[in-house]
Amino acid sequence: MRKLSFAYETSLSFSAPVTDHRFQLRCTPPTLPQQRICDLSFEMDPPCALHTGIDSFGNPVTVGRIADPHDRFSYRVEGIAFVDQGLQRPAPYKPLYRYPSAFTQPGPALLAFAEEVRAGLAGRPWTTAPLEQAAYVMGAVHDRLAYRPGSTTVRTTAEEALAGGAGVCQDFAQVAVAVCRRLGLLAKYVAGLYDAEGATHAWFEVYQGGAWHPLDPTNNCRVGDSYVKIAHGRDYGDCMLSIGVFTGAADQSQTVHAVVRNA
Amino acid sequence: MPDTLLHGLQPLIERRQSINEDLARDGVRFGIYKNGQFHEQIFPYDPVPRVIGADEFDLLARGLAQRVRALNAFLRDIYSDKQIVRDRVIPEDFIYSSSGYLPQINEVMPPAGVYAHIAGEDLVQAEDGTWVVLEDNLRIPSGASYPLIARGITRRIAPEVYAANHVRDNRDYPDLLSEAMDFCSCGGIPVILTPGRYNAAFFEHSYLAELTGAALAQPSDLVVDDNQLFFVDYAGEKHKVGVVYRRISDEYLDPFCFNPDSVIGVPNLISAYRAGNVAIVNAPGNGVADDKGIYYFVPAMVSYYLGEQPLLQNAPTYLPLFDRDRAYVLEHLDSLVVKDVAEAGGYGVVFGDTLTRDQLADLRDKIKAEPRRFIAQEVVRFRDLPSVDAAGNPCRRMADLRAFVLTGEDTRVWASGLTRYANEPGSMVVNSSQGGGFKDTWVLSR
Repeated sequence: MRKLSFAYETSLSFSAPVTDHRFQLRCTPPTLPQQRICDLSFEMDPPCALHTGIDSFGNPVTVGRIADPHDRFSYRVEGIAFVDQGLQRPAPYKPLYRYPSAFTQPGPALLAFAEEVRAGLAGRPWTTAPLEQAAYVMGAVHDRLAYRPGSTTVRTTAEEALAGGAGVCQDFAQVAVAVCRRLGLLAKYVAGLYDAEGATHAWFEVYQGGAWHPLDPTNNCRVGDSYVKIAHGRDYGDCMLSIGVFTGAADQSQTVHAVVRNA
Repeated sequence: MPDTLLHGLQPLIERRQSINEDLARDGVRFGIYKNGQFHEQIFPYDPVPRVIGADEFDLLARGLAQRVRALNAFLRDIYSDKQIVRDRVIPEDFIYSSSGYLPQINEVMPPAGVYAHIAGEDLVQAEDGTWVVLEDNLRIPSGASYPLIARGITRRIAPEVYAANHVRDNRDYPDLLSEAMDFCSCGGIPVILTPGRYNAAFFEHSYLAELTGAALAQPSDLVVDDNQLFFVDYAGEKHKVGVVYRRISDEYLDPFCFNPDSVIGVPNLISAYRAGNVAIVNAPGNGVADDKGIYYFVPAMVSYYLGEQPLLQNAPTYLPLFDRDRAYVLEHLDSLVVKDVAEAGGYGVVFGDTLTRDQLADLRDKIKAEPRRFIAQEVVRFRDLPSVDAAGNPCRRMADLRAFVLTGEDTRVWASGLTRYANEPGSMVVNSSQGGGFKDTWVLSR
């Protein structure tokens, strides 16, 4: 068990005022068996009426609309998390997570890579448990992809990232998910925060023994107690931390800052 | 039905040309995209109706209502417990690999529990008189306005024809639609949402709005505020919407939930729907139930959910995914019709008897490589109907029937429907996008 303090802040600034700004945020970590969230605060500027619900994957979602002209839009989430990955509770079997999704649809690169991984696993007949197989996939993905910020966008699919040979945490996670599913494992994409200061993070989970086990392919390690989960789903598309549309001919620039520390 | 029973049809046949001109003037067209260009085409009207006797229609209506009740039960189940999968009546693959299955709206029970408020059931009548269901259209079935407006025109030309032949009035479609919309409304006005005039069925959207009194809205007229859907009128006033009959497909409905590139959707609409603040007609996610592969299982759904014998049959269908079916399909390919489950509008339909040996071998390889992608059916030799050709001479054309089944508090079948006929003698492809026309469907009152 660790006690973490986390803060996550996004701010958008527009070169000219925009109106009719509609948005949807997944930015507040939920309380889960393995993470207890306390003292959660959420601030938004400009202030507006917000509605919070839970989406079909179980993620908290906040929606709203700012009708009046504004040239900046920012929100900040902070709180305390007690995290212990050992407290995972049994979760129902969901075949959904064995099927390809929009961002994890295999193409030639993924099919070939999955076959390589399958051959590698065939040489390790003792690696039979889903979690061990997923850990092997994680290692293979970590070796195959170079970590290179800017080489992909949030819209890059697992297939495209793999074909390009580089990406960021989102790509590492999606390629790992795609390969796991190809091998018949149930795998989920996860978005969240961890104790490296800066941006948000992404990893994946694999289903074994009635519970989900998190793995971090970007760092090639098991997810420990310094990770705060925000959202999960089939792929990035289900876990977008923020999406919005507005009216106005303006350029926008965005800064994101995330921090997780021992509290 | 001997043609001689149609009393007084002659004036309508003689005025075929002017009726078609009236229809065109009223905007009865359909649009298609060809090479990236939008074209509007006349949907040719043939004044010789399809006639369905009173007893025959009652039987048909009971079968259709039963089928749609089962499909609604299936959708409620699939988006909650998925008991039919757990009980191994339907393999999970048919749900999870269906592009129409939307996990984003899992566990969201639509207001009033109805998914398919408007079902367009495509049927043909086999040569022995049996009605056979070819397709269930549960997403945005269009076409009800064509027979409605055609009947309006012909009733003005020859009002006595309908009384003399004891034809049931079909002007209740807007009432059936309004009742279905009102029943699931969460409080507020009804709205028909159209993507705009460059949509194949724009004429129908505006026509139905006019007949039901619903506000006709384009995406920019709707806004979600306080997690509720509002219609913004010409003066900028906001009106709460209780039910939206949307004519925009699921994929484009809400960019925050489905395709983020959609510019014709309403951002956060699904959030308002999830909160129970607005009903969406038809509910999102219905594509999992009208998938060409799922069709195979609909008779099984009737017995599974309703505990009843299905009153209506499917065309004999084979799923290459199942070993035994695949063996049959590969052996009898030259006498079957093969459909690509991902295609619609008459595309991706191949009649085995039209293929060369090489093409057959090709298709066999495709089926072996991707068995889930195809279904195969026995060719149903269906009845042709009396018609008049462009020169005014009697002829016969193959025709199908799209029946409309509406569900509000209960499930009812409209005593009319869209009969589409093939352009060419002997052809069985009746899709309007393939050049076919339509005729009125008379349901007799006795």
